[in-house]
Formats: sequence, structure tokens, C-alpha cells
Amino acid sequence: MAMSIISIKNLEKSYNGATVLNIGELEIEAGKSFGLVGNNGAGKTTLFRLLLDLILADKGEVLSKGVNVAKSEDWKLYTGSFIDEGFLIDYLTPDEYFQFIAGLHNMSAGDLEATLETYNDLFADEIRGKKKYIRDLSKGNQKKVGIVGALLSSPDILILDEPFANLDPSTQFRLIEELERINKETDITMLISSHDLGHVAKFCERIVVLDKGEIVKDIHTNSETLQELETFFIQKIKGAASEVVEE
Amino acid sequence: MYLTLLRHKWRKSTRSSFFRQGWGVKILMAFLGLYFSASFGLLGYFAKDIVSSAYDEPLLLSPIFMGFVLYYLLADLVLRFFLQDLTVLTVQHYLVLPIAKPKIVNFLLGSSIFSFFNLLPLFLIVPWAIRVVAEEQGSSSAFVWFAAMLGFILTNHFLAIYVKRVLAVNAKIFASIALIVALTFLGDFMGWFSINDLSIWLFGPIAEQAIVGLVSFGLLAVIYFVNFRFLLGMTHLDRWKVAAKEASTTRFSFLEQRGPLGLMMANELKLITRNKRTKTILWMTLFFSAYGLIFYTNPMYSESISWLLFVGIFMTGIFLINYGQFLVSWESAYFDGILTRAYRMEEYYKSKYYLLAFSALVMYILTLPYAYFGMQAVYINTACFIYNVGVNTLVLIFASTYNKKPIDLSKGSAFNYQGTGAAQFLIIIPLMVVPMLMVYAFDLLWDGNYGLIFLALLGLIGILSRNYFIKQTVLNFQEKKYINAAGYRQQD
Repeated sequence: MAMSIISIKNLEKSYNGATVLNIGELEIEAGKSFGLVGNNGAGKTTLFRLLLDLILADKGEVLSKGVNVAKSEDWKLYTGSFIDEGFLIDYLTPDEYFQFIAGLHNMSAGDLEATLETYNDLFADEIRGKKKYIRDLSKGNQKKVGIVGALLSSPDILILDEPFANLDPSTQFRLIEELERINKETDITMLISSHDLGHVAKFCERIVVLDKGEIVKDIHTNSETLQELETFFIQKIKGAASEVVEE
Repeated sequence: MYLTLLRHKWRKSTRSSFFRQGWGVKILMAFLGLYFSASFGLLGYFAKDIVSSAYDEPLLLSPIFMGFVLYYLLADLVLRFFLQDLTVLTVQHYLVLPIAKPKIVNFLLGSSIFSFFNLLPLFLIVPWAIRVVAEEQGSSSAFVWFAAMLGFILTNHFLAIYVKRVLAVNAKIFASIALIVALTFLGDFMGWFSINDLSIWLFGPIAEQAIVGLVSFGLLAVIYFVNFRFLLGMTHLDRWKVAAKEASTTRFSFLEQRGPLGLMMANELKLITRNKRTKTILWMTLFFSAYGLIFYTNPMYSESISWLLFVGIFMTGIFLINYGQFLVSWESAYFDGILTRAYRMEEYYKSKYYLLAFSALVMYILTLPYAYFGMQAVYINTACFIYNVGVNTLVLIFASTYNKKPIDLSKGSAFNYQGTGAAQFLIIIPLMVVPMLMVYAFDLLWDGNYGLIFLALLGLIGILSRNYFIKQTVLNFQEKKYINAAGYRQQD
């Protein structure tokens, strides 16, 4: 087994007495792509927020490269993330926003330009060079800005919550291509949640299913994964008891 | 149907964020409301005695009052332009439901009448009608007069909302309206024409001949119909689409080349110059740099070093107090981003410190002309400047770790108390009253000038040990940030 870059130990979070997340142990290997699926309220965003030290765990800890994220700020330098618009400085133009992020990572103007060029297809000529603030962009375009902002610094860890929601079909395909390319060419560790089982099954090497805050499936993706996931979620509507499947 | 819509409106206001705000704001708003009601009520009631005491012999007061009416209506109109807000398109969600559009528009217009700005004039008119018009011309005349005035006030109401809507309110139009009204009053003052005579000519007949009272309702009907036609034509959403303003190109590039600290300061300057509410603070800041004139020209204050110190702290610190007490709250919309980006919180808070200190420096330079009142003014303001940078800035930065109320930057700032809590009123005490008392004590026991030196020394100590205090702030922040983040995520 590869070295794990993120380790979760006995992580528990509850709101008003109701447990929303309870993960005994989860190791995320470096350089792999990790998909997270689950219905609304399953705890996906809660897990990501805990990974980013945005909320405080009631119990347990998240170690990033062996260091507790709540105790040190080092992880910020190598983690790129986009959860929602709450990450975007909305009174900046997209270009200013990218320059700000690049500045924080000491990227030169040339490097920034070269990196942004690779996303030209994704931007579809609606993002750069326009005299528009981020707050005046559509939801989909705001999302593109956020995702590219997270990728900009070539992070070791990338965390994206529902990156495909609100994007038009072309952009979804383009984004998957791009993520696949980055996954192949670099040793980035990707954590991506989605409601679209197809997208996740397509390029995540490992998929974890959350249900009511607990891990109910942990799959190393193969040709039957999509089928397996679909069966699981169909059974959920039919009320079949979900059981933990160990692999 | 109207009843259902009215119930929705009632729920909307009782469930609005205003009622979820803390007690501090509610009490302040209730106090303001009572204050204005009481002053209008008292003025309305005693107006008769005030006016009649100005004349030696008893005479008919009605004509004199008629002379005031136009002044009042003009002032009322201006106030409405500036302060009354448009509760416009809260009807979007009804447009696709099977409700006739004229009904929606009627409701929209009709329900707009329930405004404090329409209640306030009643405090003036009712006592006038009873105490003046009824006594001199009989109660039926008084009733007609009252009804006619009501008509004029509602005409004002609908005129204001129509103009505000059509002109898509911007600063230039505001300024020109203010200018026109100011010129009118100036013309009146200079004697080019007389609003008083015009007013008597216009409104005098109302009390005498009931039929003239109908004119006001005629006007009201016309302006209502104009509004109605306008809104009915605007019930398609795209008619309301305002082209997004072109982004500003001001870059503060000098700062942007100075590493994370400079980048963050540049961002914050953009925040201040690109959002409505923060821009209002900037204008207020400029305006209040003249505040000292009141103190320096009035011997009651200009003799007292502690009052001058108070105004010095106020003038050099107006921006840092006004902006600084909502520090981080301004950025509530992207607080999650702040917590995850690649910088240390110490750098983040340092950038805030330098920004506030810089604002104090600018304000200090702006107050240098007070040297006109003697060098003492400069000494006082210098001590205040150093104290503001060394003590008040650090206090505000530390206090900001307790902010957890979100602020929506896109909202305007008249009567906007979003993000305000009791803490915002209490913080004035340590910031302004404490230094004033210290200098007062020195003045009483020894010499006020030593008080200035003492304040400047405190400031210097603060400036030299700023890194220690910023570190303490960050430690406190790390503890509080989860609670704050949860608070900031509750945007309305």
C-alpha cells in the first residue's frame, strides 16, 4: 500500500446531539484520486470542511502529511481547495483573483500566464480579460474561477466539493479531461465529491460511499463499480437496509 | 387574495433578519423611532404656541401655517429620496402564479404605504388640524384640510418611489436633486422668490373651500396611475436587469509587489473602494474631518483640552473606528477562503494593522490645517494620532476576533445595521472616552499637556510591541474561528 498523505482517526462531529460524521479510520494514499459519494446530508461537505480545518471535530483528528491540520497552518501551502463560493473574493475580477493566489505562492507573472493558458478551453472566453467582478459572473463561471484558483498553485492535495454541479455539459467533460490529465502527469492527491456517479466512477481510483455520516462502502474502482454504486443508491430508495461492504 | 399577499408581507418582515438581530440594534432602532415620533409630535403640538408667541397681537394663524406647508413637503420629498427604501421586486415569485398582474402591482403599490415615513408627518398634521385649523375655521374645514394634506403626503410618497425607480438611483442624480432643492431654498432665502407666498397661494384655499381639497386626491390618483402603468410594463424580469458595472481598474500595484502582506492590503483597499457600504464610510470619513470646526470655534469646547482631545481621537480615528469595528465581518462572504489560503493568520492580521494605521496617518495629515487655531491643535492631534495607531488599532484588531455577524457588502448603508451588536456601541468607551478621561485627569491634577505626552507614550509602547499584540490576537482567533465561521456562513 502506498504512503498515506491524509490520515483520519476516530473523527466525530455532531450538531445538536445528532451525529453527522463518524469515521473510525480512513487513510488516503498519496498520488491517488479519491471520490466521495453519498446522498444529501451524508456528511460529504462536513468531511471536507474538517479536512480543511473549517470546523472543529468533537473527537479525533485529521493528519495531513502527519501533522494535525487544526494545530498547524503548514497544510495551507500545499492544499488547493474549493468547496463553494464562500472561497471567492467576489469584488475582484477573475484575473485579479488569480494574480492574488499566484502572488501568495510566489508564482511569476509568466508562470501564471502559462498555467492559465492551459485552461482557456475551460474558460470558453467568458472569464479572462473581461471587465467584470466575480460577483457579476454566473454560478457556473464562478465555479470555474474557484476550481482553477484551487489548481493554480500545483498543490499536493486538491479538495473539490461537487465540482461538476452547475457546470454545463461541455465544461463537465472538459473538467474531467483536465483532472484526468493532472492525475496522470503529476503525483497530486485528489479528493472529489459528486452526485454524479458516472463522473466519479470514470476517473477516481478509489470511491468511498458515505451514508448518515458513516463509511458504508469503500471500493477500488473497476469495471463493475458504476453498476455497484447504482444498485446501492437504488436500494436506498426502496428502503433496503444498507450494509457495510468490506473489500 | 390581497389578504393572503398581505399576510406574506407581514411574515416577510417579522421573519426578516432585522428581528433576528441582537438586542442592541433593536433598542437603538426603537429609540430612534420614539425619538423622531416624539420630536415631531411635540413640534406639531407646540407649533401653535411657538408661532403665536412670535407675534405681538393675536391674529389668524392658519395662513401662516399654510405658508409652511410647501417647505415641509419639499423637505419631506428630499428625505424620502435619501432614506426611504424601495421594497421593489419582492413579487417575482408571484409572477408565474395564477394571480392577475394588475392585482400584484396594486398590492405592491398599496402595501408600500405602510412606511414610517408616512406615519411621521401625521404627528405634525393632526395637532395642526385640531389646534389651529379647527379652532379658526371650524372642524369640518379641519377635516378637509387634514384629508388634503394626507393626499399630498401620499403624493410625495408615490412621487419619490416613482422617481427613484425610473432614474435607477445613482449618486449623480441624488446630488443634482439635492442641488435643485438647495437652490430653491437659497433662492427663497435671498428673496428671488418666496416659497412662503407660493405656499399660501397654493394651500391657502384648501381650508377655505372644501372642493379644492379634492385637488390633492386628484394628484394622488394621477401619480398612482403613473406608477401603476410603469410597474405593469415592468413585470417581465429582464426589464429590471441592470447592466453590471464595469470593473474598476485601480490596481494598487505598488502594494501588490510587496508579498502576501501587500497583496492582502491591496485586496482590502479594493474591498473598500468597490462596495457601497464601505464607500459610504470613506465619504463619511472625509466629511467628519471637518467635525473639529464645531469644537474649535465654540469657546465652551475650545477652552477644554479634554474635549479637543476627544475630537482629535475622533477625527484621526474615524476611519479605523468605523471600519475597524467590523473587521473580518466585511470579509464574511469568503471567510472559508481566508481560512484555507496559503498565508499565516499573523500576516493576515498584520495587513489589517498596517491598513488601519495608514488610515490614521491620512486622517492626521487631513487635520493638519487645524494649525490655524494654534499649534496646540497640532500637538493634540499628533498625540491622538499616535494613540490611535498604538492603542486603538490594536484594541480593534483584537476585538475583531469576537465578530461573527456577516455583512452583505452589496447593501447600501442608510439605516443598515447589519453586523451591528451591543459590542459596537460599547467599544466606543475604551476607544474614545478612556483617553479623554486620562487627559482630563492630568488637566485637573497637573497640566493637560503632560496628558498628551502620556497618551503619545502609551501609543509608542503599543507601536513598538505591536507584534506581541498581533500574536495574542491570532492565538485568540485560532480558538474562536470555528464559531465565527459558523456565524459568517449564515448569510441571509
